Parts: sequence; structure tokens; C-alpha cells
Amino acid sequence: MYVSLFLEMEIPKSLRTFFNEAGEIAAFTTGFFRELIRPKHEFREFIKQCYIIGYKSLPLIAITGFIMGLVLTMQLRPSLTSYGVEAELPVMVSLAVVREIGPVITALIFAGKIGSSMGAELGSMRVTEQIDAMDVSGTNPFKFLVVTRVLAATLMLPILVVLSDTISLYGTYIGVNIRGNTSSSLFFSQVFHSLEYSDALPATIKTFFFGFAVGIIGCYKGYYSKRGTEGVGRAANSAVVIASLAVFILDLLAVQITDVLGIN
Amino acid sequence: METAEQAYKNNSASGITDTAKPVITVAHLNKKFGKNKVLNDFNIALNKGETLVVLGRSGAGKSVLIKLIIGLMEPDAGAIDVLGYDVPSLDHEGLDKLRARVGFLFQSNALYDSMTVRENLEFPMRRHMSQLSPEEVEKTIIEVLTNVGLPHTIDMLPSELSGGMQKRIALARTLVLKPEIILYDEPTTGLDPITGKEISMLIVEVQKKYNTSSIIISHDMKCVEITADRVAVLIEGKNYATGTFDELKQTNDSKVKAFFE
Repeated sequence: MYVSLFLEMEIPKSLRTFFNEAGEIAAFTTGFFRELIRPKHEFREFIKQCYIIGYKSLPLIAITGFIMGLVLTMQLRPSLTSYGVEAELPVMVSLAVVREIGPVITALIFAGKIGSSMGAELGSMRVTEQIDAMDVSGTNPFKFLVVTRVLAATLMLPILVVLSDTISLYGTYIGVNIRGNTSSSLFFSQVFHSLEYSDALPATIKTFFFGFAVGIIGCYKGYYSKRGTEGVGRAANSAVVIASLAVFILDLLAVQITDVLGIN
Repeated sequence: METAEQAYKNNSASGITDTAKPVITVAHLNKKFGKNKVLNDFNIALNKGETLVVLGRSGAGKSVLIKLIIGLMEPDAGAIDVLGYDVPSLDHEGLDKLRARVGFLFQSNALYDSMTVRENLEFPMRRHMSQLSPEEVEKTIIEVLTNVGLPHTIDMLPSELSGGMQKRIALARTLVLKPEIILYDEPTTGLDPITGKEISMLIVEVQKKYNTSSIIISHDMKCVEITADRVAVLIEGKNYATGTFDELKQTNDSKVKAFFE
């Protein structure tokens, strides 16, 4: 009786759309894993995507990482000075960068750059029938376009985060020395002394999931983009919005899991 | 003019032997999108070496028909036999085998815009002709580019080419696999009349040189006149009438006549 009552309930359209989309993304993700293990693999395209997604994102990630470290240091200094713990500045900033701000900010920038480009690229390929052409020429477009991009995004983001964190620490070092005089050896020994594996490891592991989410959502939005140029724009835009939201949700889950496991 | 039913049953065509086994047979095909029934008990047959033009209004289901034939869409009901393959029942591998023998020229050309002309042509060859040496691949590419009159574009990107040139390159891409059948989706749409005529002539030339059978989707009457051995008129989801260009041009049926006015 309860089931039939439930079925008769009018579900709001927006909620229906949400669950429909969630189901489609789940099916898309299942398709990714199925095609990932099924030969033959598009190794050349995967390497190309690693180059585009990883190497070509490097300048942007490096600049934002540097600014992130520098600005965070300058913003924190007055507060720490007022509490008389200015000497802890390198430790505070490095912990914040490595544990949280580095992975999340880098993932958000990654979602903006890579998520939108995946959405727009695959969307325009859909609109101009290039995906159909690939199918007709005997290439599995899902494997060639989606699997390679998602895998590259999953593997490249953690590397970018590590690089961003490192550059961010250099930014912090410069920030510390704007109004102080700390040698690099003292700064980095302080930083590495305070950092533990339990700080770096969970933060790095969660970036694999961030990268995967950005890849899956960007590809899904582009691959099933509706016809027309407006559809391509929408695909790119919603890829960024949903991927950014997914990063925050995954971050929330990650902090809960590490808390439960006692490695927080 | 013969009725579609007769054409399907007799499998006849002007200049084509009646006894030849059709390379494509479509029987009682149905396809709808929501409540819109685009193909309703559609029947057609393509004979070996023949060029069949499917004529119809925009949105009549012409492009859907050839996408069903190549397996890009699934029919709601009906049979599609292409070169002995029962298309609706084919799995991915079966479709790959079929598609190595059937070329498809897309309305929008569908050239991979991040790849050069050479890479565009190499792409299907890497999948279906992996046994070829790099020299043989290069030789085939230059040969087909020469046949479409554009050997000098080999290292250019699609964005650097005009609409007519892109169409020729798209045709070259279908030719690299030396297909037995080519399906053309509105090959002259978006081109000026002179370039459209050139493409139509090229289709006839390619037909002779490569000995292919073709289905051309079009509503460009000049293209139909130049290329068609036989014309099928698609109206209300059915093969309404079939005949040669001249036969259909002289008909008194107002629905068919409308295309020729």
C-alpha cells in the first residue's frame, strides 16, 4: 500500500530531472569501467590526453598555486601576530595548503579548465556528427573519447596538486620573507617537520576522485550534449558547475571518512 | 512510374539487371520518435552498382533511414539487410565488419577538426587496415586525395578548407576503405550551385571508378538529376513512389510533382 501511495505521489519536475541525470551519470560511469577493462586500449590517445590535460594545465596551476601560498601567508600573518604565534606561520600555511586548500582550489581550477573544455569539445563533436563518424569508421567513440579523457583526468590531477602544493610552499616562503627573514632551510625544515603522511596521503588520494569526477561529468555533459551551438555552451557551463559541486561533495565525504578512520 | 511496393517486390531499376541480388534490402521498416512516426512500413532495395536517391522533404526521415541502414540507430520494427548482414541484430564487432564495407558521407562532413587531412584519412585505415605498412597507407591516402582533386591539402586542417573542399575530403575519407556501398547524407547541402554540381559529378565519377553502389539522400534536384539511376520518394514515412528521374518528373501525382516544380 505504501509503495503504491509512493508511486502515486507527484514528484516535482526538478527532482525528477535530478534523479534522471544522476541515474544517467551512474550508467555513464558503469560504461567507463566496462570499456576501461575491455581491450583494445587507445594508448596513443590516452598519452595525448595526459599531455593536454596535465602538461598544458601546468602554467595555470603553477601560477595559482604560487599566488595561493603567498596570499594565504599574507592574510594569516596579522592574526597570528596578534596571538604572538607568528613563528608558526610556515606550519599553519603548509598544513592548510597540503591538507585542504591546495587539493580543493587546484581541483576547482581543473574543473573550470578541463571540465569546460571536455564539455565543449565533445559537445561540438556531437553536434557536428564527428562522434557518429567515429562510430561509422569502426572506432568505439566512448572508448576513444571518454575513457582516455577520464583516465587522464584521474591520473593528472593528483600530479598537478602535488606540483601546486610544492609551488604554493615556495609562495609561502616568499610571503614569510616579505616581512621577516627566514632562511629557506629553516622554513622547509619547519614545514616538513610539521607535515606527516596522514596529512599528505588522504589529501592526495581524494584528488584521484576529484579528477575522476571532473572527467566523468565533463565527458558526460559533452557526449550527450543536445543538438545545436546552444547545447554546446550549456554542456560546457553545466560541466563546470556540476564538477565544482562534485569536488565539494567529495571533499566533504573524504573528511568524514578520514575522521571515521582516525587519520584526521 | 511504378509503385514502391512493385519496386520493392520486383527489385527493378533502369539499367540494372533484375536478377541481381540487392546489396541493401529494407523491409517494413518502422521508426518513431515519441509520437512522431518518421518511417512507417518503409520498403526499399538497392542493387549492386546502382545509385538510388531518396527524395523527401526536410524532416521526412531520410537521414534516419540511412542511419538505420548503417546501424547508428535501431529500428522499432522491420528488417534491414546490408551485404548479407542483418543489421538490427548485429553486435559491435558485427557492425565494425559491416562498416568496413560501407562508407558514410555525413551532411556536416564530420571531419575531425583537431586532425589534419592526412590524420583524418589515416583514422579509419588504422582501425580496418592495420596490416598495411606506413608506405601503403601513405600511397592510398595520396591516391584517394588525387581522385577527389585535392592532393595538396594533405597537411592542412579542416578549418583551412572551403565547404566544397571539406566535402571532397569527407568523400576521400570514405573512399580509403574502398567501400562496396556509400551512403550520402545530403552531399550538396550548404554548397553553392556550382560546387554542388561539381560534387554531384564527383559522386558519379567515384561510383564508376570504385564500382560502388550508393544511396543518396537529397532534395537538391540538380544533384538528383546528375546522380540518380533510380529515385525513391519518401512521403509520410513510406516509399511513396519509385522510378527514374524522368519517369517521376513526368508523373501527374501532385505529391511527387511538387518536388520537380
